[in-house]
Amino acid sequence: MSDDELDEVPFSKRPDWADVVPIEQDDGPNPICPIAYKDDFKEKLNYFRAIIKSNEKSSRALELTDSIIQDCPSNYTVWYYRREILKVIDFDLQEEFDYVGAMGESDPKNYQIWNHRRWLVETYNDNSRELEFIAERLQEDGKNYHAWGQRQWVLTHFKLSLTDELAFVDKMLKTDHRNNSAWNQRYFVIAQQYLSSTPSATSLPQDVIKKEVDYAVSFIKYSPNNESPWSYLRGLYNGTSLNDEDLIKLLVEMKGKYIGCAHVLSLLIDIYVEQNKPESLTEAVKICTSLMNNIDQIHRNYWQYRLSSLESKLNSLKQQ
Amino acid sequence: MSRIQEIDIDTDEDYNSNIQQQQNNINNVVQREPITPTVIAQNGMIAQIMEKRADHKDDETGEELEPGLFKEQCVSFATDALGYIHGSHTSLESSRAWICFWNLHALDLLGYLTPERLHEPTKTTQSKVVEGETCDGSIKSRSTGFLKRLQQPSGGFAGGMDQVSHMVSTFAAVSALMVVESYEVINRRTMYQFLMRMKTAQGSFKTQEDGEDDSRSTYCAMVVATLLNIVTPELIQGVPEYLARCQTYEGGFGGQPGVEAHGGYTFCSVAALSLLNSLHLINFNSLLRWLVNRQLDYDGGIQGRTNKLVDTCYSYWQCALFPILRAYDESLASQHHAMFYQNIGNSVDGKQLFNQQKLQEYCLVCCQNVRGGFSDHPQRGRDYYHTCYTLAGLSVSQHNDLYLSVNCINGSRQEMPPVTLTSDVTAPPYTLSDCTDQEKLSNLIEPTHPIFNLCLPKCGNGQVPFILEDVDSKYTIGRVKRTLCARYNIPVKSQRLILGGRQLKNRFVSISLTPLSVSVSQTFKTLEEYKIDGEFPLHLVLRLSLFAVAPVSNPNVRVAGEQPPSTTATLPTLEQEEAGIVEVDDEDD
Ligand SMILES: [Zn+2]
Repeated sequence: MSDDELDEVPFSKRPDWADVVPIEQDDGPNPICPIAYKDDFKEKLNYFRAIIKSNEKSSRALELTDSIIQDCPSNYTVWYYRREILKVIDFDLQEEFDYVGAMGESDPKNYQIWNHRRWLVETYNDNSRELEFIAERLQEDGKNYHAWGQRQWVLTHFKLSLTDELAFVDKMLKTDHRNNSAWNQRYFVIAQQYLSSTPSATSLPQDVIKKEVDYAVSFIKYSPNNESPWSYLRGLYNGTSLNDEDLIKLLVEMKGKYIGCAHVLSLLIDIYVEQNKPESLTEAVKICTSLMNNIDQIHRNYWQYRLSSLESKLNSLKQQ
Repeated sequence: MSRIQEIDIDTDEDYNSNIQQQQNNINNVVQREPITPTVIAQNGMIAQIMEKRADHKDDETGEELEPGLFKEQCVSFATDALGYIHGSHTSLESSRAWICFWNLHALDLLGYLTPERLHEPTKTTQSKVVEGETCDGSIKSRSTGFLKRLQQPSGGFAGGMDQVSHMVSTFAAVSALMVVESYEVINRRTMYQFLMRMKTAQGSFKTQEDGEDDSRSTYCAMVVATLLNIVTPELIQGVPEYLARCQTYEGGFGGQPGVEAHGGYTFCSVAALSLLNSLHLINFNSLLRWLVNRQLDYDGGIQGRTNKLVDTCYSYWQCALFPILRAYDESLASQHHAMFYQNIGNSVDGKQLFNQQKLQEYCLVCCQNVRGGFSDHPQRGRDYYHTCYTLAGLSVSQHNDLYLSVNCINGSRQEMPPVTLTSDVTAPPYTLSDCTDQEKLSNLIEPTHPIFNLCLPKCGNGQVPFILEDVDSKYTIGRVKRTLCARYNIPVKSQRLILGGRQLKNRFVSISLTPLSVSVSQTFKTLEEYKIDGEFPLHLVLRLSLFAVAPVSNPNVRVAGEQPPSTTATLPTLEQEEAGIVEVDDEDD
């Protein structure tokens, strides 16, 4: 695999590559946006072209893919060819995991590296390293999109414990209550547990909603303007009515406590719209006006838009 | 409250004092917010923005300067890239189609890429000129020549030389070819095969043979198919349902069902659903709420995900969705469906539902490089990607009528003429008041299409506006098509000519019934009879001809993209045509 000492010797000077005739790149005349490649990189690509042409799948070819990947980890063709080689030669699975793991550490937001990793896990049906590896990446960057995507895939593909995952998410949220990716993961787990498992279910069970509302509120308490738990709370009611007595009571209380918190007001407006009564809509108009003029001026146009629809709803109710 | 809030209050002079009072009240009620990575990052961002704004003042008077676009510098940043990309960009080796698109489209958005400039010789480049091959060195020929080489025999385009096809590179290459108006080099037949090979059972598209699949790659496939007019029922089957499943509880969309809502993937999902006429599948209200909330108060810019930092590229990804959603809302209203929110179109007094001024301010004041171009965050280096998408975002912020172009350029909807914007700028772009040079004066960016991100004249169903200088008004429509066929290698059967929303037909069959016989006669209409003379905005629409490629009688005619255009095509004579010797295209619709 990657050997630093060998790496320094150009392929043209390596005796074991003497039989390969490199093929120059041909961009054509006056290409647009030509990259002024460094000579050593150019040479590697020339050898790679030769390897592809002769369809050579060998350990030295594998070594060449590594050498190019080090310079250009997003070269998806080289990664693709690496997999083609791995399919036919004998190789050490642990070594390949180490390799792609090291790459993932140094370049954690690279599509190709994560795709290669998923291919390894899936092809060799080995998920033993995954949750830990992903957790390490999330330790470095709690919002790494690829890492969370891979995590969801591993959990569902191998039907891993969702209870353990809930504990992991809880730990992540205690570290950073504004980590929206972790909130999303919590929703994912809850939905897997109560929605995906029962295809007939259109919404979460009421007791689960209550429990999760409490969970969200425990975070809102010390950061009312943190949008993440608010979105989570609202999302719990997907497929069921927001017009819930306990929820309204809670929100009205919060409205009095967290003055100027746009999230609680926005949620109340939606509940009043659902109630569709003149007095509810009148209240909604009042809240909407203050959001537009005072509390949430950056989103003024949106609130103005909401306001005009609320007013027309109210008018049509009054006319009935 | 958090430190974020405190900074907010201290620095924003316009901040309503009443609110400040209210915020202070909250501070007394709630426990202190812990300092976490998100809070630290956001505070850092606020500090950087404050610094940029403080710098943006007149040295003498101390007055705040108007934000201005360094247009000339931006043009040279992009034109320089057309000639030379530094070796430090080796890591972009697989994104060469993208580098072309970013820079060409940036120039187009800046109004630089006029037809003259597209065709005039350009500076010499670092690369060799191949002996025996002539090259006029224009932007068009250099772009076309290079991008053509990325096209793969089995369909699609690769991201770099001698690589395999990649969906996202294919999107970039096709888009770049649209910018330079060279779509004819695209092989639509193999492209269709490539798209079908990338399709998965769940209705998404993969990026490459063994690559990942997501809503981004799916958007790319849908746009390419729409632009090239190769959409078939098989191609789109299950796609709308897949994309709708990517919507999360927050309202935005993720790269896969279940994954966190993200600006880029939300754009991809919603734009593709709009192309597929399937926005009824989504939760419109929650999407709109999520979208609006991505614009941050102090920052003015747009964040890609909840509680992440603002970034200039989302100016396009997120804000392009406003015209798309408005177009949908208005189409519902016109179809007499139950309307969302009971008012027509999600706009207020013609404005869009985000703060257009503040967004432009973030881009122009905080993220612009004095040497031209844009970065994602303040105090970061400029790059080609963020330059292109910031300009596109500015375009969306400046043109309130872009929503009109959404429904017009869409194969599955009513055929309509190319869009003319009724009022180009309703949200005035910032201008430098004391600048005399007209070119420097304006911050105005050309209107870009919200779904395709191509300047309006460059997009839509392979609709390519053209002017036929050497066509006689006595020509029949059939002959015009054969002229086009000879010039652009577009099979006659694939062509539909549109004028002012009306399709021009070649053959009219009249049937007369008498008690004893039925007589059928056919006439051929000429341009003159369509009252077309001189310069006219005729549009060519490509018709799907994948499975029934017309048997072509003219040996010089080839299917687009397979071989270079022939310059010596022999056209049938008028006599032959009128004698019915040559095949006329069947007008079946
Ligand atoms: Zn960005």
